[in-house]
Amino acid sequence: MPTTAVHPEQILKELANLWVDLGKEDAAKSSNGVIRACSMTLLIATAGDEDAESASETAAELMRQHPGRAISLRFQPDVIDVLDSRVYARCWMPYGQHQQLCSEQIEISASMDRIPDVYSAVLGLSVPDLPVMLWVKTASLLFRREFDPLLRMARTVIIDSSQIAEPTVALQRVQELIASGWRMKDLNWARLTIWREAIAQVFEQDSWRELIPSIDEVTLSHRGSDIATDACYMASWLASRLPAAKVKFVNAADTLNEGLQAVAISAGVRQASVTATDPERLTVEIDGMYHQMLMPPRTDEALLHEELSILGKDCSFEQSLANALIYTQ
Amino acid sequence: MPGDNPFLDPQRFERRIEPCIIVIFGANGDLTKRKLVPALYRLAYERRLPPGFAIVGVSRTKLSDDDFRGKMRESVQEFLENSPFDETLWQEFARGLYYESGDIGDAASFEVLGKRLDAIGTERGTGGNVLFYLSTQPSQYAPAAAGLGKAGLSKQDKGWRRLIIEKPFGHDQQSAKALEVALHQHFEEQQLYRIDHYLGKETVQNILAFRFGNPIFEPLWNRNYINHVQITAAESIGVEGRGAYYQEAGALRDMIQNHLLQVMATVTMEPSAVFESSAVRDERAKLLRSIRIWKPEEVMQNTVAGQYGPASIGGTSVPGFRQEANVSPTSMTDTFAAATFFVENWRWADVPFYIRTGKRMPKRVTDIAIRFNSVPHSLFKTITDGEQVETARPNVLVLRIQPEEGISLRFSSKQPGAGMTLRPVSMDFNYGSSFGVRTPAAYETLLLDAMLGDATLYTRQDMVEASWSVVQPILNEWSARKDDVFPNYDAGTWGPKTSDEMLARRGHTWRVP
Repeated sequence: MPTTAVHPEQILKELANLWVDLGKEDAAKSSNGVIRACSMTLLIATAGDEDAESASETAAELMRQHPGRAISLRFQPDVIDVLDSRVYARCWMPYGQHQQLCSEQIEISASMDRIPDVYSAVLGLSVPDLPVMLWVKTASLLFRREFDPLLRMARTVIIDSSQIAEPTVALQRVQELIASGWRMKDLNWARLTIWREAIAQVFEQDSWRELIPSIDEVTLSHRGSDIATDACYMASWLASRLPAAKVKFVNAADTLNEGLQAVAISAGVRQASVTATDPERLTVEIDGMYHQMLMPPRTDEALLHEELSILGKDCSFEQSLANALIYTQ
Repeated sequence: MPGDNPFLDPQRFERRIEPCIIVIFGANGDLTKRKLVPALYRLAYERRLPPGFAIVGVSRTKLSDDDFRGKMRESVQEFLENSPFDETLWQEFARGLYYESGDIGDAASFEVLGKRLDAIGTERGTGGNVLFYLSTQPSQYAPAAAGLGKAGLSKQDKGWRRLIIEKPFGHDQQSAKALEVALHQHFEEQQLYRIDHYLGKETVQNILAFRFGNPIFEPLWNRNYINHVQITAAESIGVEGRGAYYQEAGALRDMIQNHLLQVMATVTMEPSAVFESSAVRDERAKLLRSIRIWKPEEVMQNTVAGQYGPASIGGTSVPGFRQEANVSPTSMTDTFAAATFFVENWRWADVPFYIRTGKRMPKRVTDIAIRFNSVPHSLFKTITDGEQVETARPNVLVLRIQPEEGISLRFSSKQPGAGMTLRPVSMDFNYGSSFGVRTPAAYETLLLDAMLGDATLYTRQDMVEASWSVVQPILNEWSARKDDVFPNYDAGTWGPKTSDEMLARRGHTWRVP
């Protein structure tokens, strides 16, 4: 018989009281009041204290752009029979505004054996009529069978495949979930956006678009000896648009940052490349002319913001994912 | 021609601009320093500008490229809003900055400019694409267009050529027509981009999203449910050193003829079949042509001109308009203008649209208030002083353009406690709170659109003409005023009493924004 429990109605009542208190607190300081903003329920699944703390900070930052009810699910794999909850709000004063904006957060700590109870509690806690997103911050949870019921809570599941050491395993799992009807998002794909934008820029020139059928080689330089998921995604994305190109991978000798280091495209004597020239900058070279693009650090918050801004199916990602596996071997 | 770029991903990043050069005439002016170059730098920061992008500043002052780069660097550092200044990015941006001294009245200057553009185009691979921006006095528009045309710079044989001009598009109906003729001698209408920066504001664009993306409101958006509409654009400041310019313009010309009639058209136009430049502008133009034009004898009943006098605002004395620098002590310029308009079509017949704008008003605010009809039969009444008073108030939908952009809906709710007394409450959507991201400045949006060749947010000649047709009869009547009528409102108030009387004649009152 479990010794602990969480009660959704009690949690909702605590939330309601929290809002009343916030309103009173603010009214005492000013007459402007607080604004409660909500556009979704974001479930954040973590295992281990380190992931839980960083995810909580990320969620708080994210709420500025995607206000909603964040429910942190902090699983504790090495303990048994733990289930506890607390509620709190994160408030901030938007720049130039007079009213505080607040988002609510619920934190549920549980041992893995209590997942069914977590699932039933969370069912009563999601915000009605708004989408439910599940961010599996600790990617290993995706491979635990007892975690499966929680997947049913959300239509959209966000992962970071860079956390999974073996790209084949990561890509296969993402493909499985898509095949089962989930809308999957991978932060590792979002890390490629600026690279893809830089490559798209090359093909804004008519003369480079005319070359597309004759581009015969694309070289991807990456860090480390193994081909990571981001390199596989990039190879697949490029190959789907350059029908005659052979994709080559090379191991970059000097690396400035994680993942991809450079993409070189050649069509006979014509050359274009995109290279990470420092950790926050890409250099685009088109036929000997150089151009720099800022590549601000992509925090989890920035990557999540990008993914949450895409409503509906992400065709480019799904298409690239479909053929990415062939580049892992 | 090669097809579309298959590498674009519109869900993640937006359409790229073709390599091009922007030529800014009036490169030493305030607009260039405060708005244009900071907006272009910001676009570079957002990775929206193509490789090879270049800016050529043109002005009479002799400057080297490096002098110009130094001046623009100072401007960007001073006027860049909500963005950090990145030194390395600036170095690259500055490499694309050039300067050419020249006089708009001198044909030889345009020949020199043409050669410089050829050289820069070859060096930076811009393929002959050039956007000319006239950030000059309006009197220079026609000579500049002529200079460009005669030097062959408006021809689109090697790449596209576009011309941006700033309002005012003429001082009256006649001069607007003359300007059109002068511009069309050298540029096709499709090459002309007339900036109305109000249309570039995110919140003005959001009016279209609100109306045509939410089917619950559109069925109510007509004479059957809407009682009247109030559009207010108030500024708390005076003329702030622009006395000489403002004295010639006035509130009606400066705000209503362009910005506010465009806003009114956005609120009232029919949906276009597609969201494309010509289709949206056709609908806007059609609406502007539907506004009733007042006969001379109707003007004074339906319009109000005002001018602020001196007053003390919060303990600070502020001068009246006639006491401002570079303003005549007998000036008859309107610093406040209000007008009642009607749209003559099936949707809006008999619905009054009240527009007011002014300087030195109690606060800076621009909003559109849509006042719905009262309940058809009254249920909720209280007895006050022996009289039955209806407590349900009409619904009001407010579209706030600035500041604190957003949308509010006022509706009635039961006051807690015994009895059935209703109290108005407000349901608010705040644009900034719901989207925590930075919204682009109007000039960023508009410059980007011009480079992309998207004229949706730009004013077309037929719209300019339609607006002047509405405003000109008012100007004609106002010009006959006697000079003892001004000043007629104190600085720091909501305008002259006659403005309240104009609404009272139809049983309405101005709301306090």
